[in-house]
Amino acid sequence: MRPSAESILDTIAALATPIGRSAIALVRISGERTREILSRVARELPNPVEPRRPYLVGLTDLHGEPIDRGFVTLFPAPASFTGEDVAELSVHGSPVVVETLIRALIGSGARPARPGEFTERAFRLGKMDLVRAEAIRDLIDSRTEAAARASSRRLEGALSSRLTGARENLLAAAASLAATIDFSEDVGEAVDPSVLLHLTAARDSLARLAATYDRGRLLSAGCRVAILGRVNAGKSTLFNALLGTARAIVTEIPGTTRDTIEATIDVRGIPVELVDTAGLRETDDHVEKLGVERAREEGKTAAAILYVFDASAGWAEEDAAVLAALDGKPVAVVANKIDRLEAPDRPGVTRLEPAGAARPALLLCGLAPEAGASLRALLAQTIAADVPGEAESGILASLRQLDLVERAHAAVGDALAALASGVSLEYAATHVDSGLAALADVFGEATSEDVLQRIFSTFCIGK
Amino acid sequence: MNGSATFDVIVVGAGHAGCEAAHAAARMGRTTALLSGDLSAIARMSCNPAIGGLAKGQLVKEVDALGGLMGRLADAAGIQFKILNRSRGPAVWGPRAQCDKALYSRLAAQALSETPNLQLVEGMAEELVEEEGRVAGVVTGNGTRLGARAVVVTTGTFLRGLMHTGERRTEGGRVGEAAAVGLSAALARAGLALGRFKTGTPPRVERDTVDYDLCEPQRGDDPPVPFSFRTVALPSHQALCWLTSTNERVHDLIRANLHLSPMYSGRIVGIGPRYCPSVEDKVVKFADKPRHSIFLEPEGWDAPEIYINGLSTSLPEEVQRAILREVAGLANAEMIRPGYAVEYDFSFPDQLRGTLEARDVPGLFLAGQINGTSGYEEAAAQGIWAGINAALAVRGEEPFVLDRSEAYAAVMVDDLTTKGLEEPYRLFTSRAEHRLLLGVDSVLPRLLPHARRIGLVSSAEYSRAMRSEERLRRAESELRAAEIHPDRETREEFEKTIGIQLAEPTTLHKLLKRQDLSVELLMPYGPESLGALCREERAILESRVRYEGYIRRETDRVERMKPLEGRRIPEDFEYESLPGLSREVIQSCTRKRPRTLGEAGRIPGVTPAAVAIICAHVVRSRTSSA
Repeated sequence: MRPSAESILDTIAALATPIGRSAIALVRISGERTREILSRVARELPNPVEPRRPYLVGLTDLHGEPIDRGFVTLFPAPASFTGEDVAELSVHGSPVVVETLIRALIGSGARPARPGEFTERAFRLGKMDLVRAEAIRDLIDSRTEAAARASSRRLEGALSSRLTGARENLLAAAASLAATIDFSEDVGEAVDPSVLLHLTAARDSLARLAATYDRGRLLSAGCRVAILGRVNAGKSTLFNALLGTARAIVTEIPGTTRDTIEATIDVRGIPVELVDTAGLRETDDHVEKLGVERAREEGKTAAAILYVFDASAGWAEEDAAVLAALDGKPVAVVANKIDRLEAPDRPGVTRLEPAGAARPALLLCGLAPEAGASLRALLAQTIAADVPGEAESGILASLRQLDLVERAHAAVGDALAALASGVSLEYAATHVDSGLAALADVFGEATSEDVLQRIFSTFCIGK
Repeated sequence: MNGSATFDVIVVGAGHAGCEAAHAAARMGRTTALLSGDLSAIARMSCNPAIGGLAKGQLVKEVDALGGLMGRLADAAGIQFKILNRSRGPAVWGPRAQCDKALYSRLAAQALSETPNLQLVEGMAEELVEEEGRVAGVVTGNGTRLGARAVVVTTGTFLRGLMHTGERRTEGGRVGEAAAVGLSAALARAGLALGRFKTGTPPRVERDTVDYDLCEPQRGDDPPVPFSFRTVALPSHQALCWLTSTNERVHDLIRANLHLSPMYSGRIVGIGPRYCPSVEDKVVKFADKPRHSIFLEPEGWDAPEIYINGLSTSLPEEVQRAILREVAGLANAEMIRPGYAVEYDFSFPDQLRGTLEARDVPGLFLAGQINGTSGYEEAAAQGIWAGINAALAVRGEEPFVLDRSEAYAAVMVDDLTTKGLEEPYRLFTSRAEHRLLLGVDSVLPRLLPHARRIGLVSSAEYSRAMRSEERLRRAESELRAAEIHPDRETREEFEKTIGIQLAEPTTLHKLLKRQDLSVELLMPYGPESLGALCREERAILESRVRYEGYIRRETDRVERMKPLEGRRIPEDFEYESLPGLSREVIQSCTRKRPRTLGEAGRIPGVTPAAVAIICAHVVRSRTSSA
């Protein structure tokens, strides 16, 4: 059988309910490592777990950060949907929650399932009668023949050419290494320097490709942006400016916003959940205190932050402290109320540079008519800063593609490390082969003949 | 028809495949006949005067571990020994021996004549005898009928062989030897589909007319290492080979005469191997290369011929002479024999089972170049494989089939019988997905147990042959136990003599993982068992220690795939009735009858989904019948 990066022995995970926003999302795991993976993401589960009983537990990512609370049910083999150990995790139907959960499962040893793979496993282990099996035949076939055709159509164009570029580089490296091993008399025993160039090129393009996933996800699932700042910085004003309506109540009284307010806006095609929060300050007011806590919570969970300060009051140490606590998250800083700066002496100008922020602040007046457009531009820049723009499309669309591309990327890194540390070629070459196998799984194609083909067209072989 | 001698096994053709097949079957106690058109041409090396090389050397060691002839004959007839890829780990070492061709052939004949149960018969097989749907013997050119319960056909390039030198064409499989025409028709009548391949040879020149001062000498290893576990000693003296090259003048000559080359003029229809191109091909396809290497290889200790390796051609004789005159060292060389291309019939090997028995012709086995392979070593490995299986089949015993993770021979046979061919097949290490497990260092522990079980290696031989492996295992476990404590004295000592800093307690085993350390450097601190290791064993030990993780991962991969890879599909499995299989899959699987799910998955066109469906039904039919 063709060596594949995706073995039927792997434990697989995927969303079992339709993709998109729904009340409840069901994530399913199947395979021999199911229990082990559960113990990592659902640490509150008792040991042993009672079969077929739903447990309401907290789910966490690999760093122990909470993702959601949900019901976890274990169905031990063979009395399960696939015939293997299966677990079902019911969580809130937010795309972000589902995504984070599946990534945590992958980090714990699962791999994203191919379309139809659960059904295929069920079929393989005799869990379905033949009539039903025939009914799902198309589904299974779609994984290979039809899906390969369909996905090759999907792969046509930008994504395909980017993947092909990486694959060409890997093939060239693999062929050169194979020739050096199998035809050392013809091509010499030394590693051709081009191998390193090809591998480096492949590594870089795979890394860039993996980075596009965030944009792909952004485009489909969107992201959450919290507006943070000290009291009376004008957060709600900016919120309203972005919405284009007076949704949040705006007053001159500090602490007007006591709870979070949410609204979804469209930022250049990306659905953004915008959250207005309570101003950050120490307070004895019980309700406001809860609001401030909630604001800090939003700061942790949001994908990006719009941080606002009052230009007339200047950038303060408290602002810098909040920023520091955000720890690397994309942050856009806005100096609001510049209309209140005294034009002649401008005492606060130097204090408009937000110490600790990655970029200079956007100076504006939230009440000005052009404020909304400026803020949208700023947001677009912030959430999509590190991913290519639409002009350079070709982005990864699924977690499975990302997983395979990341595995290929890691394998190429291993190959480079092995070559650099003087590992004998036949061993170093195994990493290149793994990389090719992972990419072949994205394409759904075999590669071993390709390598031979490449050798014979590149090297003059044979005495 | 007359005569009615009856054998268990008849082997047709006494080349490298035929000799191994007949020898194995006879040694397994089956009465065996080896039929050859010319008994003076047994195990003839009709092409280059070397045995082994990359991947091929591993095959020779596998044949040897299975009790075969090739390894010890090459040792005895060897005139120069060299391990290719020595700078790498033993997983990809390729041992090779330049051989005395005449001596090799003579020693083979002698070994066969001394083999009990084996009878050498001169004659060409013209007909296959079929009885009750089985092959029951052959009829020779003079009408003699020889009965057998299994027939192994190993006729190499002789089936409708056609030799080309320029525009001249001669029928025959080798210079001076007749082609087998009748048998080709007989195989076709038996229902085997035949295709046409071509291969080529270079010219030979007279040894004493070469100007060696203009060539670069190529030496063998010192000391030489034998192929066979049976070989005790090799000659201390070794012959030299020589290196020269083509040049632009040669390339111009070739380009100017391309229209006279049968391949380029369209006279040759057969497909040639990409890995063994003619010099015409090299010049055309790699036009930017200013020169191509030419190796001058003596055909024996005292043989008059020098084999011009690298100059395989079918250009006319006078063009070949002109080319030779332009090559450094060959300006005055006298050409003894021009190069030629040979076209021949082969039988598509995907018509065979994993035992090399024809799927639809019980009792008929095919091995060697007739299966579309090239090379002595590929032929020998198929020969011993077919011989063993023919011998087992006549007694109704379980077939001998190895897994792809067990032997290069298994990789080759599996490739041939499941994937089919588009060009002559040669083994490369990169064809083996578990290459790391198939090195020369593991041949004996991998295959000797099989050979002992089949009866091709005695228990005494087995124990003797396993001694090296035992030495290695002992040394490895003692290295693991050899703890080093970095007290001041030891630290200073290691820093002074080996140049490394010891920071924390360690073992010699851990130290040996470092690329900058070797068994040799650690010897003074190591167990005595290290001292007992020869140069190759030390390299093997270093590689095993250093790449332990890689090897374990590979073994793990094999183990994890076994339940699927090795799951048997019943011989009479009905693909036709399975829902969900495409017409193409049903046809290929019905025709090829894969033995396991692994084999099924390697058949072109059989998708992973199809394998999953077959798997489900195999499991179902097993549980419902249990």
